[in-house]
This record gives sequence, structure tokens and C-alpha cells, in this order.
Amino acid sequence: MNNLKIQKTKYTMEVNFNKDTGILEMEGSSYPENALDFFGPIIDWIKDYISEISKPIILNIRLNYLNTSSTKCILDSFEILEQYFQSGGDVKINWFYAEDDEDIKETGEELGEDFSFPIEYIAY
Amino acid sequence: MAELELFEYYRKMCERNIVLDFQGAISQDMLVGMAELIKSKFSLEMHRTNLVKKLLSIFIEMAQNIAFYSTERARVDHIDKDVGAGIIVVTEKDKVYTITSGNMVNKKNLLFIIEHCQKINTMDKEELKQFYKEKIKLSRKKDEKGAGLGLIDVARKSGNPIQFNITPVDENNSFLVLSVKVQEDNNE
Repeated sequence: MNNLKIQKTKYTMEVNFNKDTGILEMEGSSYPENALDFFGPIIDWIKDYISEISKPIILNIRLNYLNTSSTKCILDSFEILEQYFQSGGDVKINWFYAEDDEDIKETGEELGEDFSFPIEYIAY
Repeated sequence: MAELELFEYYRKMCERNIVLDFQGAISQDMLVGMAELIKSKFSLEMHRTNLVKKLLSIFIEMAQNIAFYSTERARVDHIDKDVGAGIIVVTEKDKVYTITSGNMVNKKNLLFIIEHCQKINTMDKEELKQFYKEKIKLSRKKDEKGAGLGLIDVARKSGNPIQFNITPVDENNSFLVLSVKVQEDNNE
């Protein structure tokens, strides 16, 4: 498998998933016309990494806006990571938020609250 | 000539403090343009980024609702598909921002949306959070582009009820207007 790189646009995030380090980064805003189309390859990559490489995953998420259908897609990817974690995989999520950005902080907290993998909320 | 009577239209827009008014097909390009406009316009006027972000996210959800669900479809030249058409207006009065959308909906969707709004409007902050969490976990319907969460999110961000108004247009379609307000130190 290859690394996954997606360039940032005004309405889609920059994605940088590295298969060698297991560091997965998402950054920017997300309100695509069709969230499933955008997140499909991201979710497939995570599944492939889990089945082919099976090494630790650190997911760094640094967003400034996401619409509801993107939020749902992030939840879908958390569910895959949860399964991996439950079956013994090493998963850590860092959710970064701008210090004064209550909405993004809250979105992250709500997304993370029903999972057992470690998730840390980090203000910047 | 009707075109020359723009002054009357201009005066009405000024009276109503219209800060953004768009009628037509909401393509992704159009949406991004309007979102950028709101960001640059209001980032200067509002000191608190949270209010700008709430306004922006309400605007995007409502505009995407038009783009996805309006039964009035329009072809956009450079992309090979239809997008929804409608109207979206942002007004400001005494630091209260109102986002109002209008578009055609069919009977089936109209009933669903009205019941959805009525349900949302009876809920307090905590109930809305639970409703949102319940909906986000439901698996997505196959043909649904959005996650059916938009209006719950709109209500949560605004902290106010979603007002609505319906005008029947023909046998199958009605014009649905949805309106929400957002203001400083709401939800605090």
C-alpha cells in the first residue's frame, strides 16, 4: 500500500497518512458536496493499514470547521479504529482545537465520548 | 423599465439590513464563495470567533439542504449534474443574525421536515445533544447525501427554535421557508 496524501481546498481537508510511521494527519475545513465520496478513500486506507500493516496508529486531527455529514464520516472512521483497538491494536487520537473554538472542542468531545481508545484534546 | 426600478429594491434591502441575499442554483463553488464572504465580512465585525463560526455553520447546513433537497433543480454549466435551487438570506438587526432559506420541497419531504422541526423545537440543549448523538449513529440511508443531522445541528448552534412557513405551489410541491436566529452570548 501507499501513503495517502490529499491536498487541502477551501472546503476539504489536507490528509497525510504515512504507512511507515503510522501517523495519520487531517487538517483544515470539511464541507464537501458529497462527504461519502471524499471520506471513502480515507476510510479504505485505514482499513487497509489495519489489515496489511497492523502497527500502531496515531491520528492527529486539527480542524476548524466540519459540517454534519463530515462529522458522521469522522465517526465512521472512529468506529473502525475502535474495532482495531478492541482487537489489540494500538490507537491514539489527538484532537487539536483553537483555544477559543468551543464548537470544535465540543464536536471532538462528543465524537470521542463513547469509545475506549485514548483520545486527547489539545488546545493550540 | 423594470430594470431601472432597482432603487426600490435597494431601499428595501437596506431597510431589512440584508447582508447576504442569494437566489438561484447552489453549486459547491457558489457555496464556497458565500462561505468565504461571510467569513471575511463578519470576522471584521464580530470580535468573538465563536459567533462567526456558528453563523457560518448554520449558513452552510441550510445552503447544503437547498443544494441537496430542493425539488427545483438546475443544471450548472461546468459540472455535469443538477444542483438544488432556492433562496438564502442573512439579515442583521441589533447584533442578532437571522439566516432564512426558501426552496421547493415535495409532499413527502415537507411532512418529514415539519415534524422534524417541531420535534427539535420542543427540545432543550441536553435533549438536542442526545437526539444528535442518536441520529449520527444510525446508518446512513443509501440515497441520502447528507446525514439527516443538519437541522439538529442548526438548532444546537443557534440556541433558538427553527421557524418555518409553508406556501403550497402546486399539487406536489410547496415552498418551504426555514428561519433561525443566532446572537452573541447565546448558549453561554
